[in-house]
Amino acid sequence: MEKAIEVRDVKKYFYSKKRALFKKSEVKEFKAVDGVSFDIYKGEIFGLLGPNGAGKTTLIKMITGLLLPTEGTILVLGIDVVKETIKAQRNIGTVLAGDRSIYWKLTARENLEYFGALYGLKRKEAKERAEMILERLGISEKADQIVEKFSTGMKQKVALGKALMPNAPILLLDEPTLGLDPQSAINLREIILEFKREGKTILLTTHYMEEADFLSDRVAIIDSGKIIALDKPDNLKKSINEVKTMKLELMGASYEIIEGLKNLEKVQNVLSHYNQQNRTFEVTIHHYDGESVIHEILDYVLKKKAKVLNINVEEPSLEDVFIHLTGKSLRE
Amino acid sequence: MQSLRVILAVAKKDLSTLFRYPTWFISVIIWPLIFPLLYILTSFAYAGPDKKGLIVFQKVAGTENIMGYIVIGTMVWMAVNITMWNYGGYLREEQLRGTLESNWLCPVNKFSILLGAGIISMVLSIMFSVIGIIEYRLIYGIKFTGNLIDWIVVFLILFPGVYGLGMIFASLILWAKEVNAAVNVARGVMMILCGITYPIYIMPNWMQALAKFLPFTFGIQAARDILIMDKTLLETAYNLILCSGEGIIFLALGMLIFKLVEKRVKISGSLERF
Amino acid sequence: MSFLNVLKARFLISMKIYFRYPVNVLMTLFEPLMWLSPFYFMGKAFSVNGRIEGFEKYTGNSDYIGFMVLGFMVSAYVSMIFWSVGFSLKDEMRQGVLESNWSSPSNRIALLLGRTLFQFLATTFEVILIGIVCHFAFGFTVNKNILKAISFLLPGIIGLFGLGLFVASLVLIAKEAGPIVDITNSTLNALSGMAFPIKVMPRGFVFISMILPMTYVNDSIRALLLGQTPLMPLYKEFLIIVISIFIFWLVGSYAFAKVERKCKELGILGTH
Ligand SMILES: Nc1ncnc2c1ncn2[C@@H]1O[C@H](COP(=O)(O)OP(=O)(O)O)[C@@H](O)[C@H]1O
Ligand SMILES: [Mg+2]
Repeated sequence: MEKAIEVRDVKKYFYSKKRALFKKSEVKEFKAVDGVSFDIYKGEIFGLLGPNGAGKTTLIKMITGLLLPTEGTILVLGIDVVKETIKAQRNIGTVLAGDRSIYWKLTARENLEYFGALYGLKRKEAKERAEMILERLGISEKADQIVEKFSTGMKQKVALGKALMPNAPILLLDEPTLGLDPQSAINLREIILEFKREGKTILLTTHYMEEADFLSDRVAIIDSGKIIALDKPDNLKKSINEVKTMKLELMGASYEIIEGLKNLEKVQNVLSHYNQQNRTFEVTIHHYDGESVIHEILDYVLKKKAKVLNINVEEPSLEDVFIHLTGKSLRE
Repeated sequence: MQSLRVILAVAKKDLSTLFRYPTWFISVIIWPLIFPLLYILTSFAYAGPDKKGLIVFQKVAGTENIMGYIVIGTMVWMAVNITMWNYGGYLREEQLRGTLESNWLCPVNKFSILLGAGIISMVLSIMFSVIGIIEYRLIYGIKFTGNLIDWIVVFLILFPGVYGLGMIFASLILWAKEVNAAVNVARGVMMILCGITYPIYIMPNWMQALAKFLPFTFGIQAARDILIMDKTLLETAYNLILCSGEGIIFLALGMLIFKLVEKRVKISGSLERF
Repeated sequence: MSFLNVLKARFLISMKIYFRYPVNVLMTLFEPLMWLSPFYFMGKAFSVNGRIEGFEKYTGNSDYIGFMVLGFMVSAYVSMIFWSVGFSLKDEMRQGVLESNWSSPSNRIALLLGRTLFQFLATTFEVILIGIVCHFAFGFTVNKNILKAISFLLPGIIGLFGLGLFVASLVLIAKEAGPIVDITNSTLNALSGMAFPIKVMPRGFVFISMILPMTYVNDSIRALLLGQTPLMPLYKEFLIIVISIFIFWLVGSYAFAKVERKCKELGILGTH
């Protein structure tokens, strides 16, 4: 398979000076991306899944040429991004996270035509392409209204439209559904799948595991600047098949009781979340052996006088893969 | 060619926003009128009820037209001031708005974006100057000399220095974020040194020496020669050449600093909004 | 919380914010140089052997430096009132704390005063710095009537606080208050003779000047500290300044109460 993007041993360290009065300032090093390598093949959707602060955005910015890697190389269609930034940028359409990447005081059409010019389209080309994209994304009715008044979902569409202007073979989408209501998110995911059908190569970052699972051909799981797993979603899930997931909803429990669960044999991970509204604990337990350990768990909980409101035994999700690998949850 | 297209696109984008929210227009009308007023009225006080003081002033400044003398100084200062705030803060504003990165990841020479950004300030400066001149003529009754071509030459001569300075600030702000204080100091220095209300020969020698490093000192002098002292371009050629020469140095410095900062922000990642 | 506690809390917060930016203090040293130089050197362009005859005819002596520095000092107080009282509210709206502070039982005016009182002291500190800077840069000096001058200045400033309430109400209702405040502030400073003797203006403007109490603050201080000729006997000027306190406070608190009620009715606090 042909490679669209090659990332080789890429590192990005940020340095911050802590300035203190009357003291020597010390330089702090922070490893936002810490030695990452992967390839993205032409025509695939490649998902980058990781919690906030994992280094996803930093990675995308290095690929688009906004940030210089501290070490390593990045090739886009064989072009070195650091050495030939502008040439590489011609092949990429990018949507950065958040709805602030377009001009709120311009209309949707003006935004697209403006970025068209920056992507090197002639005036006429830009006009035609903007029209087509507005039509395509279903916002042509509001094309001549100021973006400020749009909903978040609509703004996100304009941002996406902006990235489509150059008709580049590669799309980088940084958390495209962040902050959208469920319906708009579904809508947007459909659109992304359509792009894939047209043959575009898509790199998508997200911290929603369902989204990564649903959209991606392959998923890389990233945490603290390192890629800790990379495969097809199904394979990732199969890889932890011997691990079973059980979800409990407890009332009258405490963090101490939940800590105690970890001491049980064959229990691997225990994560809990306190639901303030219902005053219950939602506990996720990864364990090996299915039958006996369930009894042990329930015995333990009942002995501690906590009430079990709900029990679920679930198929592993990408979230479970993440928990399995890091011992923490994606949403933390 | 591609650069020209980018420059025009940036200008078009800025201008359409500008004209969509036209409240600034009131400032364009009011400020040229009131800003020089303090100085003008003070000069009246110095001249005395019988205006005899003007004879003293004429000996050092070469003209009795004190109002014209002052409004030309303040007009140039206002043009520089607008450019410093508007153009100097341009990239920073894009950054706060969150759109800077969107521009930066486009396959263009980023310098052409900066060039395009200057056009809106140029339009505003021209507007301030034209409206100012009309107001001064009609409301304050100041008589100007010279012809339109001379005036345009003076404007063009001031241009490189003003934009060079704007560029320097636009770039530095990206790096240092809070340079409001620096902008204040810069325009203050200009206010002190360039002789907005007085001939620079009045200042101590060391200040005169400093003033000669600023193109605006010569620009203001040239503007006065042409607009109120009825001199020809040739007669003030010395000022014209020094003003544009120093201006071009400013411009080159602006380009250099921009390039340096462009590289730096790629390493520190400080382009993003925060 | 009692009135005094609120006052103290506000005061301390403001102080912390101020001293977090040492640039503030540096700018205080630089700004008088920047704003006064054009007046100073222009004065030089008019003077012969240190005297400006025309100026003497208006003010009684040639101390144009003292004239402008004192005017600048008084204008520092006026601007402080306009910007800090008016915008302390606006700032808090931005930070979204207005509504919580607002609804607390503490007196609203205490909130305003706490911040403004701090600003008053900060401005006084700045005014002293201005005096020192101008002494070295321009040779500014005054005679020893300082206490007397302060007794004219203080009531003037107290009156201004009342005016500040009026500005605060304006800021509360106007969305884009910045330019309005900027222009009124500059105009008020100019009309009350900050930079020039009011008599140089056309008659209509002189009339407006004569009804502004700040005119008498400027005038009396200059008469006391520089020995310049006042517009009228000083006791009369003092009387006018004192009377203006009542007028400003009456009008200010009336407007403020009115606007506050309106804002509460419409629920527009904190929505800016
Ligand atoms: N310009 C920067 N300077 C310093 N630290 C940064 C910068 N940009 C990002 N970081 C840090 O790098 C880490 C990774 O950030 P990011 O790539 O935005 O994560 P993600 O997109 O996965 O949430 C975070 O801890 C963030 O604070
Ligand atoms: Mg991110």
